[in-house]
Amino acid sequence: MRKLFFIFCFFVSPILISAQDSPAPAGENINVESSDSQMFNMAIDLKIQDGTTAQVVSDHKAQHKVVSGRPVTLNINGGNFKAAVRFTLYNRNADNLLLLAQSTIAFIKDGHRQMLSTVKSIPIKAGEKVLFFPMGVLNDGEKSGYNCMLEMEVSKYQQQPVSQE
Amino acid sequence: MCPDVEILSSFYDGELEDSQREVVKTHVESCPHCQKKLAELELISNTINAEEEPDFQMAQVNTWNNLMDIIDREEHKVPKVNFWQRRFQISFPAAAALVAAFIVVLSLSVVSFYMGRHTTSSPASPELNMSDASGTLFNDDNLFDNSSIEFDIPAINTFIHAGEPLLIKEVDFRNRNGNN
Repeated sequence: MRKLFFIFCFFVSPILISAQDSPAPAGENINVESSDSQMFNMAIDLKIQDGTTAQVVSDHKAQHKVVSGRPVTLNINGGNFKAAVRFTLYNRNADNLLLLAQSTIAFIKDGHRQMLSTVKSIPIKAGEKVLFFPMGVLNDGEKSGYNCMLEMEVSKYQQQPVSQE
Repeated sequence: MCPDVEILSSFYDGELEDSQREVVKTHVESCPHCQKKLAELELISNTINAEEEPDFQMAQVNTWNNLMDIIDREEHKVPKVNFWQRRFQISFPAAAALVAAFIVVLSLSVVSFYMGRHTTSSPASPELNMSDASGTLFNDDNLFDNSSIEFDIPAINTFIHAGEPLLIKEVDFRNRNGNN
């Protein structure tokens, strides 16, 4: 009887070992397509515009990949102000997105240092351009200064073809 | 006529009656052969008496101790039993629990084994090409780690705070400026 038991274990053990090495069920696989639908390309263009001549005196461009729900922080170091803007993109459904802009701006006004924190949001669609003015927009009577403008365009993430090396 | 050796031995040991002892004594005094026999008996007697008597009590104690040692060794001796004939003492509940656990593990393993084979061979669930996925998700350094972008704009000290930040669509902004 004991010998039979050991012989039985000898033949069953390969099954036990191979069962441990079996791959995970299909339900646990990562859905790459679903991940791609939550990813976007964000093109950011920071323009400094002369309020008088409407001429763009400085232009900074950046490309960033963003994931829905994960913020991207922009730090702008100006001459008399500093701004930290945190953009978070939420994918609501299909092409409907929600862009959330949380900004904290430190600036000097009338010889005093001031800070301003705001939260703005706007529903957008993929491919639409959005403008963000951290210092506000100059009125007609205040054209002597410079406008700081962030121009953003969100598009669906396109997977880059993997180069064969 | 000389007396028998046994009579001489009894004479030497003083075991004869008085009448016999006197007769034998008279004879021995005049017989050199019997005197020689008596001398031999005396020598034998002296030799026997010269040997030490064995210590029977000590021998008994030693024998007893040896016996006790043998009994003790036999009692504590582990018998060499073949593995296949060895008996394991295990209680019935423990044995039942072991058997039940073995059956459960075996069943789960067999089920998971066949489920794994089923899922891998199913065309409805193609295997994920993890190299592509990792290349998409993790090879871009700019995706998760560097989620902060730094802009250093020219040190123009004429930025004017014109109000609250404005977040607006470009189309709406152009329309608003066009209306103005």
